[in-house]
Amino acid sequence: MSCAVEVVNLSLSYDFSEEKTNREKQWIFKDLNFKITEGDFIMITGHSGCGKSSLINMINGVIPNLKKADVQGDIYIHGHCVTNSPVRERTKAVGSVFQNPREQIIFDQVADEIVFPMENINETPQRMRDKLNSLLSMTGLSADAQTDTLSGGEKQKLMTACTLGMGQKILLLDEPLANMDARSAKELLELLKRLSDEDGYTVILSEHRQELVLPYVDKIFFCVKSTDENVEMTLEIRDKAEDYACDLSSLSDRTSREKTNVAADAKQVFSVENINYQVGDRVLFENFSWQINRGEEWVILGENGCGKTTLLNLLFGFVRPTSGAIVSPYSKKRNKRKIGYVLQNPDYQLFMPRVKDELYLNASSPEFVAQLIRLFGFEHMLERHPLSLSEGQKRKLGFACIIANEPEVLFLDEPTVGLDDEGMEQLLYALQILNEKTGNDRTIVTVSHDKRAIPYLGDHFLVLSHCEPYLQFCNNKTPPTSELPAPMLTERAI
Amino acid sequence: MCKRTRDIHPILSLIFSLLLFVMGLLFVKETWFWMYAITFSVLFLLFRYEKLMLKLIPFVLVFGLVMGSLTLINGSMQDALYAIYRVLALGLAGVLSMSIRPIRLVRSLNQLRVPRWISLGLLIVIRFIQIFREEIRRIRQAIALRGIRFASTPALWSRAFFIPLTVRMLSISEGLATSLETRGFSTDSEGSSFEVICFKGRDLAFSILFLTCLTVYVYLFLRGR
Repeated sequence: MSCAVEVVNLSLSYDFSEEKTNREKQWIFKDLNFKITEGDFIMITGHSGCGKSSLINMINGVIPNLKKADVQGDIYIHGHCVTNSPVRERTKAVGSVFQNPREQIIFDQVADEIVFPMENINETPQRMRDKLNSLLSMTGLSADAQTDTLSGGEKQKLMTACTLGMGQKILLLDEPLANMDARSAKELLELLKRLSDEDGYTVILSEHRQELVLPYVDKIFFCVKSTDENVEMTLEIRDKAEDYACDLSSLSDRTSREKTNVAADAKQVFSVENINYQVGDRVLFENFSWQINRGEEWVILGENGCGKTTLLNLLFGFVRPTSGAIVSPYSKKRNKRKIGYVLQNPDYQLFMPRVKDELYLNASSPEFVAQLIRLFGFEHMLERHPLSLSEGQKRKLGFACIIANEPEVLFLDEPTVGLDDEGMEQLLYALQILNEKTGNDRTIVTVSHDKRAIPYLGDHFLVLSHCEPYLQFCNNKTPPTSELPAPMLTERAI
Repeated sequence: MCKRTRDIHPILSLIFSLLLFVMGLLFVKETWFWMYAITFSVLFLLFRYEKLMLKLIPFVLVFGLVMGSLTLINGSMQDALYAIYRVLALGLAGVLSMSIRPIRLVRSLNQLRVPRWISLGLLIVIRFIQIFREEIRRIRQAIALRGIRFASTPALWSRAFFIPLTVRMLSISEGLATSLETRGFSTDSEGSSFEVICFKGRDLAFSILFLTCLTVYVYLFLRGR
């Protein structure tokens, strides 16, 4: 097998000060050397903000061509030096799938989006049609679906399909599973594995959800802290994961916990009464009824695009059901302030000039904020601008700002996406602290795909499904496994 | 291969939409303007544009009344009526322009050898308007979630609105640019086309009827002069 990607003495720095020499500069990576053979399936992993995306972007040329950075060393693709080649030159050999698929969509229909890169490389209409059909059946997307009505996970699938359509033999995927349900993630990974084993594709994928990817990979690139003080990260290359374990032992597993405080006659906080809701022609809820009592902790599970986030928006009142009603004391404008809602994308909720200001804005008690600062390790970044933080740090900050208000009802939309194990642990501890403050009387509704976190996020499960009936739900501690997306819950959760 | 569709050819729709608007503006002061509006409304109904027409009625009513009322402050009843007619002309043109699917317009422009950077730039501009609207909606929701009210803290509200908006717009622009580059878009090559946009019998029928009606009204207009 020949070499697909070779990196020689590759260094990356965002330190542009001209008066500093190479020795004085702060480097993200310094003198990396590795070879990736054709047909390899590689996972790049490490904690949030460690440079996984940067490494991928250096290979596809986004850094330094589109994002300014000091890059030294050489990159070879299929034996050709591409260090000075523009992105479009590298695109002939390398396909890329980025984070935030929403920002990359140009067209309003799925089919147009998928064929666009094929049009760029001058494919014939017949070949485009064949590829389109196979990609649609692979992703389960509909050709005529409007891209703005797709869920986050479906958008991710769409962008992956776009890249696969171009047929480059090296695929770079930056957290492609972040918004995907377990079934879709498994399907994508199986497809990538097939491409790698049977067709010689080289797959390089960065991901936090290691437990999903581990069974498929040949090698793992761990981004670990460097011992050199001028260099932040270095790479450790292993053939297979050695000990991957996320220690959450000190957290109470909510599925095994007896919740004594939720009385049988607990006050109803949301009563969903026979609602119908549809987006365009797509029916999401049909005669759906559901009740949430004070102190309950619900986790909404289900496939991509089945209406999980929409359900949170219906409960909050951002959207109204087509028919039926949602009765809640929190429907009144003045009571809405008692609901905390952590959005999937933290960029919308951060706007103050410093991290400190963001945390104390509307905070209920300074002591709790101080506790959150310690827990999330914000001590050294209090004076920084919130939008200068890494994606993972922003997500933690967005979450901390909302819970600092100590809301009575908390909605969490995919709170652990893009978080490493440490970040996820911090977030779950914060939830536990918040709960203990009120004697577990807080109502929490979480949407999550994250197998790592689900057992700790709730003890009631609502499973939404595309199949008939539109949804099934189980309001006890043991959701029927058959109704859960196949590999979603571990034995620990059930 | 031509795709079977009910849509009128995008280039024709664009040209006829412009014609309808410009001629409408010329004809507003004619006594027969209402006939002009009815004629083209019937033509649109014949060619199954009823859904788009229904969508535009609220816009025409509200915008027309607002424009009419504003004109009435300094003008006569007649001037107010002309203002409403202008909005009506805009509404009529809107039916055709709103029926154009941006991708079909881009593909037909490409077929006419318009450089791809122009046609795709046009598409991205159209797309950006939709994204902009969606971003504003999301940011307003996020502001509400943090309990910030414009009435009580206008400075904080403005900050919470404009900072995420700027950041999101920059982030989306960067994402789109990166996405285009990595999906092989290049201004140097023409690229192929998934769908050929053809002129069909339906386009011919629409063009004949449209141009005949328009010619009659142009004749009436010129005769009046």
